[in-house]
Amino acid sequence: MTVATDLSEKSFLTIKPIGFNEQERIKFASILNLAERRLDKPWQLTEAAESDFYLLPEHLKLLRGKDNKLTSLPLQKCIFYTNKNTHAGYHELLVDKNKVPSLKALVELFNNLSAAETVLEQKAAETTITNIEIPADGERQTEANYFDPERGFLGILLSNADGIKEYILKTSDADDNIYVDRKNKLYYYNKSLENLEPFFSEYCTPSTHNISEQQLQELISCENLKAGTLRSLLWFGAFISSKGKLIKGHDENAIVRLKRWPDINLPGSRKLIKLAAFMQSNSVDLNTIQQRTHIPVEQIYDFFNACKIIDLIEYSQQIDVHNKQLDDSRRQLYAMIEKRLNASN
Amino acid sequence: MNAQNRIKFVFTGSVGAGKTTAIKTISEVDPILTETKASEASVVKRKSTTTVAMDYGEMTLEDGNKLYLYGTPGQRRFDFMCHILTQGALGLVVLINNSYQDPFSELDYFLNLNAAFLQTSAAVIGITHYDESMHPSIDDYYRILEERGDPWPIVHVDARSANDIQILLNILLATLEYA
Repeated sequence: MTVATDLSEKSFLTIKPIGFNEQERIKFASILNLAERRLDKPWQLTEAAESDFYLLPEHLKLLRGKDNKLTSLPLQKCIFYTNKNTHAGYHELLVDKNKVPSLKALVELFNNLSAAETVLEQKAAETTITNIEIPADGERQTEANYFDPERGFLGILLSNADGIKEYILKTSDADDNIYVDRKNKLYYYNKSLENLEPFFSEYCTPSTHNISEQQLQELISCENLKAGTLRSLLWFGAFISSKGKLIKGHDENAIVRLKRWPDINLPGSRKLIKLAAFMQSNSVDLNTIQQRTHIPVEQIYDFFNACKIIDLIEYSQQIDVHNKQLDDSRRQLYAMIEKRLNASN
Repeated sequence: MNAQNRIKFVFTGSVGAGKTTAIKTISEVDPILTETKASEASVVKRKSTTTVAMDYGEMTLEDGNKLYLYGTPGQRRFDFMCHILTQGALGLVVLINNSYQDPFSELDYFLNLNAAFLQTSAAVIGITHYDESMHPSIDDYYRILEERGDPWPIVHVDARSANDIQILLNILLATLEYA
């Protein structure tokens, strides 16, 4: 379905509560009213079918993926109530035990969201595109069944922007900065990559600034930044963002082989050592990999997507299975050694 | 059970790459270390003592058998020990110190030295001191292996970290199982 929309005309944002009782709606409306003067852009409650954002109780987060109505709501447009800062990669609004939203949290979140919307509007205006494809319900669900690496923070990292970039990633209680030097194919960050997990939600769009090489050098010493390869960052980003879905455009019957191992030191990859070994030694489709290794298909997809993103996958016309014949005693020996090694952890 | 029939992994690689440390890190008994004052000029520059015969450590498997861990001497004049120790070994761990001037030559050397063993077995390559120097990168090492036609996995490790050495051996096991 194609509709004509002029985004530049929008002077306020709408939010539609779903799954709340009357009392809860009143509490939210009151806090929104109190917040009004501190919001960068006006927000209005709406009951219309289409809204800029959707407000949902925390328990509905678990029903996404099971309930078709909820699945059809774009995740980046959903705001979930939460009574703790989980940083789970969703937009979350902190509420107390009586489900009254925190005024401070609401102001911060809504201002961040309106700023992100403004960037999107500007981009749309710059490209003078006034036609936006809104997928029909069925199409939207299909879309949710694959992993699109071009979206969110990963999509920004994959774009061909030049120079050194500073990405400011926001959580409800702190900002986090990561620096990417494309020329040298490095990233700089002062924490372990696991901390970036929430930001690799496909919908997180950080603010971006250009910085000079000299500024980067100063930041490296001031902020105690550690370097890593851009490939590692992309691998990790794709691995986390995939969420068990196969990458867009890949035919699951295609015959694939792992050209070489990814960095097994990256978070999440260590449990997939056998998968890497199997995929490097055999050219097969992803279903066959699952049948042979008994590794859950979701984990295979996450690993495959991440390896594909950094060009570690090669395609083949022919299945080539390396049937290594190991006798039972050898298999048992390997199993015992593995058990002993992992018992040390 | 003589040394050739033992269940064992062999750690080899350049002087100062961390073979002795890696074995010490995961051995459940006090390892036997045969370190002495270095004599080769190239070795003296790198460290004051070095392994002359072998390093030895062990881990007990659930059936009571031992998994033996042997480390080869780093000095080239003891290369013959490499051939003795790898006889009957399950696999080879090659450790390369990334802060050395020409780590590719070291890698080349140790893969060539063990070429006969690797025709029927498997290796994993651990790059140490990677936190000190990311040049050459892991990608660069893979390019070298590609030129050689070797399929071995490469991972950067800290020889002082038991977790890293366990991962290295897990990778070697998976390679033995599937490659």
